[in-house]
Amino acid sequence: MTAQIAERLRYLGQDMVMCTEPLGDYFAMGGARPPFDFSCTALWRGYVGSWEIAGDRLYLSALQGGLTDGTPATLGTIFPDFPERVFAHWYTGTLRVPQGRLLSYRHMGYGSVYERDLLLDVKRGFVVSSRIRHNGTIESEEVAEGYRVNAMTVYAHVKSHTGDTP
Amino acid sequence: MIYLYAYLGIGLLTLVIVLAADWIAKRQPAYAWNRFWETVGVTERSFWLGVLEGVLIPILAVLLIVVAWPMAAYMKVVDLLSGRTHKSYATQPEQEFTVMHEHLRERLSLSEIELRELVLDPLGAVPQLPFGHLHKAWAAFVEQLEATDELWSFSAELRPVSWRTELRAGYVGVRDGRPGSFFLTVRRDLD
Repeated sequence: MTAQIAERLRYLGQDMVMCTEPLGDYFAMGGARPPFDFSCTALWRGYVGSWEIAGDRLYLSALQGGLTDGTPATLGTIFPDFPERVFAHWYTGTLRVPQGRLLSYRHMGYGSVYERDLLLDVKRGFVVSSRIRHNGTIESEEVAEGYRVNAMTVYAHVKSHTGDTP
Repeated sequence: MIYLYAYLGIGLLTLVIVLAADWIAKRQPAYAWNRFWETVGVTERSFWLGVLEGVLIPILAVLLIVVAWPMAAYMKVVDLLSGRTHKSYATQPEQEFTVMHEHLRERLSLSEIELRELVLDPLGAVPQLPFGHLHKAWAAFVEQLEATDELWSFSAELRPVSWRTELRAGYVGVRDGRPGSFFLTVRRDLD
Protein backbone atom coordinates (compact mmCIF):
# COMPACT_ATOMS: atom_id res chain seq x y z
CA MET A 1 0.00 0.00 0.00
CA THR A 2 1.34 3.41 -0.98
CA ALA A 3 1.98 6.22 1.49
CA GLN A 4 -1.22 8.23 1.77
CA ILE A 5 -1.90 11.91 1.16
CA ALA A 6 -2.73 13.38 4.56
CA GLU A 7 -5.77 15.28 5.72
CA ARG A 8 -5.40 19.02 6.37
CA LEU A 9 -5.78 20.71 9.73
CA ARG A 10 -5.91 24.35 10.79
CA TYR A 11 -4.96 24.65 14.46
CA LEU A 12 -3.91 27.72 16.45
CA GLY A 13 -3.81 29.77 13.26
CA GLN A 14 -1.46 27.42 11.47
CA ASP A 15 -2.00 25.06 8.55
CA MET A 16 -0.83 21.51 9.23
CA VAL A 17 -1.37 18.02 7.92
CA MET A 18 -3.03 15.27 9.89
CA CYS A 19 -2.41 11.54 9.60
CA THR A 20 -5.84 10.62 10.94
CA GLU A 21 -9.12 10.26 9.06
CA PRO A 22 -12.07 11.16 11.34
CA LEU A 23 -14.49 10.94 8.43
CA GLY A 24 -13.71 7.22 8.20
CA ASP A 25 -15.36 6.80 11.60
CA TYR A 26 -18.41 8.72 10.41
CA PHE A 27 -18.87 6.24 7.57
CA ALA A 28 -18.20 3.28 9.88
CA MET A 29 -20.91 4.53 12.25
CA GLY A 30 -23.59 4.58 9.59
CA GLY A 31 -23.08 7.92 7.86
CA ALA A 32 -23.82 7.69 4.14
CA ARG A 33 -20.66 7.35 2.08
CA PRO A 34 -20.93 8.76 -1.45
CA PRO A 35 -19.33 6.74 -4.28
CA PHE A 36 -15.90 8.35 -4.27
CA ASP A 37 -13.89 7.84 -7.42
CA PHE A 38 -10.62 6.08 -6.88
CA SER A 39 -7.86 7.34 -9.10
CA CYS A 40 -4.62 7.21 -7.16
CA THR A 41 -2.74 4.72 -5.03
CA ALA A 42 -1.87 7.52 -2.56
CA LEU A 43 -5.53 8.30 -1.94
CA TRP A 44 -7.41 5.07 -1.34
CA ARG A 45 -10.16 6.96 0.49
CA GLY A 46 -10.90 9.14 -2.56
CA TYR A 47 -11.04 12.52 -0.82
CA VAL A 48 -9.00 14.99 1.24
CA GLY A 49 -10.75 16.62 4.18
CA SER A 50 -9.83 20.03 5.60
CA TRP A 51 -10.34 20.25 9.35
CA GLU A 52 -10.08 23.02 11.89
CA ILE A 53 -10.12 23.29 15.64
CA ALA A 54 -12.15 26.26 16.79
CA GLY A 55 -12.25 26.74 20.54
CA ASP A 56 -11.96 23.16 21.69
CA ARG A 57 -14.09 21.63 18.94
CA LEU A 58 -13.11 19.72 15.83
CA TYR A 59 -14.82 20.80 12.62
CA LEU A 60 -14.69 19.54 9.07
CA SER A 61 -14.57 22.73 7.00
CA ALA A 62 -14.03 21.50 3.43
CA LEU A 63 -13.66 18.38 1.36
CA GLN A 64 -12.07 17.78 -2.01
CA GLY A 65 -12.45 14.71 -4.14
CA GLY A 66 -14.34 13.24 -7.05
CA LEU A 67 -17.30 10.94 -7.49
CA THR A 68 -17.65 8.05 -9.90
CA ASP A 69 -20.14 10.00 -12.02
CA GLY A 70 -17.47 12.60 -12.76
CA THR A 71 -18.74 15.34 -10.45
CA PRO A 72 -16.60 16.87 -7.70
CA ALA A 73 -17.18 15.82 -4.09
CA THR A 74 -17.54 18.64 -1.59
CA LEU A 75 -18.65 18.97 2.00
CA GLY A 76 -22.20 19.49 0.72
CA THR A 77 -22.09 16.09 -0.98
CA ILE A 78 -21.96 14.35 2.40
CA PHE A 79 -23.68 16.99 4.53
CA PRO A 80 -26.13 18.78 2.19
CA ASP A 81 -27.56 20.97 4.97
CA PHE A 82 -24.11 21.95 6.28
CA PRO A 83 -21.96 22.84 3.26
CA GLU A 84 -19.79 25.32 5.20
CA ARG A 85 -18.79 23.54 8.38
CA VAL A 86 -19.57 20.32 10.23
CA PHE A 87 -19.01 19.63 13.92
CA ALA A 88 -17.27 16.23 14.14
CA HIS A 89 -19.17 15.11 17.25
CA TRP A 90 -18.87 11.45 16.20
CA TYR A 91 -15.11 11.37 16.52
CA THR A 92 -13.34 10.01 19.57
CA GLY A 93 -9.66 9.25 19.25
CA THR A 94 -6.24 10.81 18.80
CA LEU A 95 -5.34 13.10 15.93
CA ARG A 96 -1.74 12.69 14.83
CA VAL A 97 -0.07 15.77 13.35
CA PRO A 98 3.48 15.04 12.11
CA GLN A 99 5.95 17.88 12.56
CA GLY A 100 9.59 18.58 11.77
CA ARG A 101 11.84 16.70 9.40
CA LEU A 102 11.44 13.20 8.07
CA LEU A 103 13.33 10.59 10.11
CA SER A 104 12.26 7.46 8.28
CA TYR A 105 10.18 7.12 5.14
CA ARG A 106 7.75 4.21 4.79
CA HIS A 107 5.84 3.91 1.56
CA MET A 108 2.77 2.58 3.30
CA GLY A 109 -0.22 4.32 4.85
CA TYR A 110 0.87 6.92 7.39
CA GLY A 111 3.90 4.88 8.45
CA SER A 112 6.61 7.54 7.94
CA VAL A 113 8.19 8.89 11.11
CA TYR A 114 8.90 12.60 11.62
CA GLU A 115 10.85 14.40 14.35
CA ARG A 116 7.73 15.13 16.37
CA ASP A 117 4.06 14.20 16.50
CA LEU A 118 1.52 16.61 17.90
CA LEU A 119 -1.12 14.34 19.42
CA LEU A 120 -4.57 15.80 20.04
CA ASP A 121 -6.93 13.67 22.11
CA VAL A 122 -10.51 14.16 21.03
CA LYS A 123 -13.62 12.96 22.82
CA ARG A 124 -16.91 13.20 20.93
CA GLY A 125 -15.59 16.10 18.86
CA PHE A 126 -14.01 17.99 21.80
CA VAL A 127 -10.24 18.33 22.08
CA VAL A 128 -9.58 17.30 25.67
CA SER A 129 -5.77 17.27 25.74
CA SER A 130 -2.68 17.70 23.59
CA ARG A 131 0.91 16.54 23.85
CA ILE A 132 4.07 16.34 21.79
CA ARG A 133 5.79 13.02 21.11
CA HIS A 134 9.49 13.35 20.28
CA ASN A 135 10.62 10.66 17.88
CA GLY A 136 14.22 11.80 17.44
CA THR A 137 16.20 14.41 15.54
CA ILE A 138 18.11 14.48 12.30
CA GLU A 139 21.39 16.35 11.85
CA SER A 140 21.33 16.81 8.07
CA GLU A 141 20.08 20.20 6.88
CA GLU A 142 19.33 18.68 3.48
CA VAL A 143 16.17 16.98 4.67
CA ALA A 144 13.27 19.41 4.28
CA GLU A 145 10.55 19.83 6.87
CA GLY A 146 7.06 18.67 6.07
CA TYR A 147 4.94 15.67 5.26
CA ARG A 148 5.63 13.94 1.98
CA VAL A 149 4.47 11.16 -0.29
CA ASN A 150 7.36 10.12 -2.51
CA ALA A 151 5.51 8.38 -5.33
CA MET A 152 2.08 7.35 -6.47
CA THR A 153 0.35 5.93 -9.50
CA VAL A 154 -2.59 7.85 -10.90
CA TYR A 155 -5.21 5.85 -12.79
CA ALA A 156 -7.79 6.89 -15.40
CA HIS A 157 -6.11 10.13 -16.44
CA VAL A 158 -2.73 8.44 -16.56
CA LYS A 159 -0.15 10.77 -15.13
CA SER A 160 2.88 10.00 -13.03
CA HIS A 161 3.45 11.98 -9.89
CA THR A 162 6.01 12.28 -7.23
CA GLY A 163 6.21 15.09 -4.82
CA ASP A 164 5.51 16.75 -1.54
CA THR A 165 2.22 17.43 0.09
CA PRO A 166 2.03 20.42 2.38
CA MET B 1 6.43 -23.86 -34.50
CA ILE B 2 2.84 -23.35 -35.55
CA TYR B 3 1.76 -23.70 -31.92
CA LEU B 4 4.12 -20.88 -30.93
CA TYR B 5 2.65 -18.60 -33.60
CA ALA B 6 -0.86 -19.50 -32.50
CA TYR B 7 0.04 -18.79 -28.87
CA LEU B 8 1.57 -15.40 -29.72
CA GLY B 9 -1.34 -14.63 -32.05
CA ILE B 10 -3.80 -15.15 -29.21
CA GLY B 11 -1.53 -12.94 -27.10
CA LEU B 12 -1.78 -10.14 -29.68
CA LEU B 13 -5.57 -10.55 -29.76
CA THR B 14 -5.67 -10.35 -25.96
CA LEU B 15 -3.58 -7.17 -26.11
CA VAL B 16 -6.05 -5.59 -28.54
CA ILE B 17 -8.99 -6.53 -26.28
CA VAL B 18 -7.28 -5.18 -23.16
CA LEU B 19 -6.39 -1.90 -24.90
CA ALA B 20 -9.93 -1.56 -26.26
CA ALA B 21 -11.45 -2.18 -22.81
CA ASP B 22 -9.16 0.46 -21.28
CA TRP B 23 -10.03 2.93 -24.02
CA ILE B 24 -13.76 2.41 -23.42
CA ALA B 25 -13.28 2.81 -19.66
CA LYS B 26 -11.44 6.11 -20.14
CA ARG B 27 -14.29 7.52 -22.24
CA GLN B 28 -16.53 7.49 -19.18
CA PRO B 29 -16.86 10.86 -17.44
CA ALA B 30 -14.46 11.30 -14.58
CA TYR B 31 -13.60 13.99 -12.10
CA ALA B 32 -10.88 16.39 -13.17
CA TRP B 33 -8.22 14.81 -10.95
CA ASN B 34 -5.33 16.71 -12.55
CA ARG B 35 -6.66 19.96 -11.10
CA PHE B 36 -7.22 18.16 -7.80
CA TRP B 37 -3.52 17.24 -7.50
CA GLU B 38 -2.59 20.88 -7.88
CA THR B 39 -5.00 21.97 -5.15
CA VAL B 40 -3.65 19.44 -2.65
CA GLY B 41 -0.10 20.52 -3.41
CA VAL B 42 1.14 17.46 -5.30
CA THR B 43 3.47 18.56 -8.05
CA GLU B 44 4.98 16.54 -10.86
CA ARG B 45 8.74 16.78 -10.70
CA SER B 46 10.53 13.54 -11.50
CA PHE B 47 11.66 13.14 -15.12
CA TRP B 48 12.94 9.60 -14.60
CA LEU B 49 9.79 8.44 -12.84
CA GLY B 50 7.85 9.85 -15.80
CA VAL B 51 10.05 7.87 -18.23
CA LEU B 52 9.61 4.75 -16.12
CA GLU B 53 5.82 4.99 -15.83
CA GLY B 54 5.19 6.54 -19.25
CA VAL B 55 7.53 4.49 -21.45
CA LEU B 56 9.23 1.49 -19.87
CA ILE B 57 6.27 0.10 -17.96
CA PRO B 58 3.88 0.26 -20.98
CA ILE B 59 6.49 -1.53 -23.16
CA LEU B 60 6.99 -4.22 -20.53
CA ALA B 61 3.21 -4.55 -20.12
CA VAL B 62 2.73 -5.08 -23.88
CA LEU B 63 5.48 -7.74 -23.96
CA LEU B 64 4.05 -9.44 -20.89
CA ILE B 65 0.53 -9.55 -22.33
CA VAL B 66 1.72 -11.02 -25.65
CA VAL B 67 3.93 -13.64 -24.00
CA ALA B 68 1.89 -14.45 -20.88
CA TRP B 69 -1.59 -13.71 -22.20
CA PRO B 70 -3.45 -16.37 -20.17
CA MET B 71 -2.50 -14.51 -17.00
CA ALA B 72 -3.40 -11.11 -18.50
CA ALA B 73 -6.74 -12.45 -19.74
CA TYR B 74 -7.52 -13.88 -16.32
CA MET B 75 -6.66 -10.58 -14.57
CA LYS B 76 -8.79 -8.59 -17.02
CA VAL B 77 -11.78 -10.90 -16.53
CA VAL B 78 -11.45 -10.59 -12.74
CA ASP B 79 -11.14 -6.81 -13.10
CA LEU B 80 -14.25 -6.57 -15.27
CA LEU B 81 -16.30 -8.87 -13.05
CA SER B 82 -15.47 -6.94 -9.88
CA GLY B 83 -15.86 -3.44 -11.33
CA ARG B 84 -12.36 -2.24 -10.56
CA THR B 85 -10.31 -4.30 -8.19
CA HIS B 86 -8.70 -1.28 -6.55
CA LYS B 87 -12.15 0.15 -5.85
CA SER B 88 -13.27 -3.00 -4.08
CA TYR B 89 -10.06 -2.87 -2.03
CA ALA B 90 -10.80 0.69 -0.93
CA THR B 91 -14.26 -0.27 0.28
CA GLN B 92 -13.37 -3.49 2.07
CA PRO B 93 -15.89 -4.10 4.85
CA GLU B 94 -14.88 -3.94 8.48
CA GLN B 95 -14.16 -7.20 10.21
CA GLU B 96 -17.40 -8.67 11.51
CA PHE B 97 -18.16 -7.44 15.02
CA THR B 98 -20.86 -8.84 17.27
CA VAL B 99 -21.99 -7.46 20.62
CA MET B 100 -21.80 -10.19 23.26
CA HIS B 101 -23.67 -10.45 26.53
CA GLU B 102 -20.55 -9.53 28.53
CA HIS B 103 -20.31 -6.22 26.60
CA LEU B 104 -23.65 -4.95 27.94
CA ARG B 105 -23.39 -2.05 30.40
CA GLU B 106 -26.70 -0.34 31.20
CA ARG B 107 -30.33 -0.79 30.21
CA LEU B 108 -31.83 2.48 28.99
CA SER B 109 -35.05 3.71 27.49
CA LEU B 110 -35.19 5.24 24.03
CA SER B 111 -35.94 8.70 25.44
CA GLU B 112 -33.05 8.44 27.92
CA ILE B 113 -30.65 7.65 25.09
CA GLU B 114 -31.97 10.38 22.82
CA LEU B 115 -31.72 12.97 25.61
CA ARG B 116 -28.19 11.84 26.44
CA GLU B 117 -27.10 11.95 22.80
CA LEU B 118 -28.52 15.32 21.83
CA VAL B 119 -25.75 17.26 20.09
CA LEU B 120 -25.47 21.05 20.28
CA ASP B 121 -22.96 23.39 18.71
CA PRO B 122 -22.55 27.15 19.25
CA LEU B 123 -21.64 27.60 15.58
CA GLY B 124 -24.73 25.73 14.42
CA ALA B 125 -22.66 23.13 12.58
CA VAL B 126 -24.82 20.19 13.59
CA PRO B 127 -28.54 19.37 13.46
CA GLN B 128 -30.01 19.68 16.97
CA LEU B 129 -31.15 16.08 17.02
CA PRO B 130 -30.08 12.96 18.88
CA PHE B 131 -26.75 11.81 17.36
CA GLY B 132 -26.53 14.99 15.26
CA HIS B 133 -25.21 14.22 11.80
CA LEU B 134 -25.80 10.53 12.43
CA HIS B 135 -29.47 10.99 13.26
CA LYS B 136 -30.65 9.29 10.06
CA ALA B 137 -28.59 6.22 10.85
CA TRP B 138 -29.96 6.20 14.41
CA ALA B 139 -33.54 6.51 13.12
CA ALA B 140 -32.93 3.55 10.79
CA PHE B 141 -31.56 1.55 13.73
CA VAL B 142 -34.59 2.35 15.92
CA GLU B 143 -37.00 1.53 13.10
CA GLN B 144 -35.83 -2.05 12.81
CA LEU B 145 -36.28 -2.71 16.55
CA GLU B 146 -39.35 -4.57 17.77
CA ALA B 147 -41.60 -3.23 20.55
CA THR B 148 -40.38 -5.88 22.97
CA ASP B 149 -36.67 -5.27 22.35
CA GLU B 150 -34.60 -3.83 25.18
CA LEU B 151 -32.05 -1.11 24.58
CA TRP B 152 -28.67 -1.37 26.29
CA SER B 153 -25.45 0.56 26.14
CA PHE B 154 -22.40 -1.59 25.39
CA SER B 155 -18.64 -1.31 25.47
CA ALA B 156 -16.18 -3.83 24.03
CA GLU B 157 -12.45 -4.13 23.53
CA LEU B 158 -11.39 -6.18 20.55
CA ARG B 159 -8.44 -6.87 18.32
CA PRO B 160 -9.49 -6.41 14.67
CA VAL B 161 -5.86 -7.17 13.80
CA SER B 162 -3.25 -8.75 16.03
CA TRP B 163 -1.21 -5.57 16.67
CA ARG B 164 -4.10 -3.23 17.52
CA THR B 165 -6.66 -3.05 20.32
CA GLU B 166 -9.82 -1.13 19.65
CA LEU B 167 -12.62 0.15 21.87
CA ARG B 168 -16.10 0.01 20.44
CA ALA B 169 -19.12 1.36 22.27
CA GLY B 170 -22.69 2.27 21.49
CA TYR B 171 -26.21 0.95 21.88
CA VAL B 172 -27.59 -2.47 21.12
CA GLY B 173 -31.03 -3.99 20.81
CA VAL B 174 -31.50 -7.06 23.02
CA ARG B 175 -34.17 -9.52 21.90
CA ASP B 176 -35.09 -12.52 24.05
CA GLY B 177 -32.03 -11.88 26.19
CA ARG B 178 -29.64 -11.89 23.22
CA PRO B 179 -27.83 -8.80 21.89
CA GLY B 180 -28.52 -8.23 18.21
CA SER B 181 -28.20 -5.21 15.94
CA PHE B 182 -26.21 -2.29 17.34
CA PHE B 183 -25.50 1.37 16.77
CA LEU B 184 -21.85 2.38 17.09
CA THR B 185 -20.91 5.65 18.84
CA VAL B 186 -17.23 5.10 19.68
CA ARG B 187 -14.50 3.35 17.70
CA ARG B 188 -11.04 4.20 18.91
CA ASP B 189 -7.60 2.68 19.14
CA LEU B 190 -6.40 1.94 22.65
CA ASP B 191 -2.71 1.38 21.86
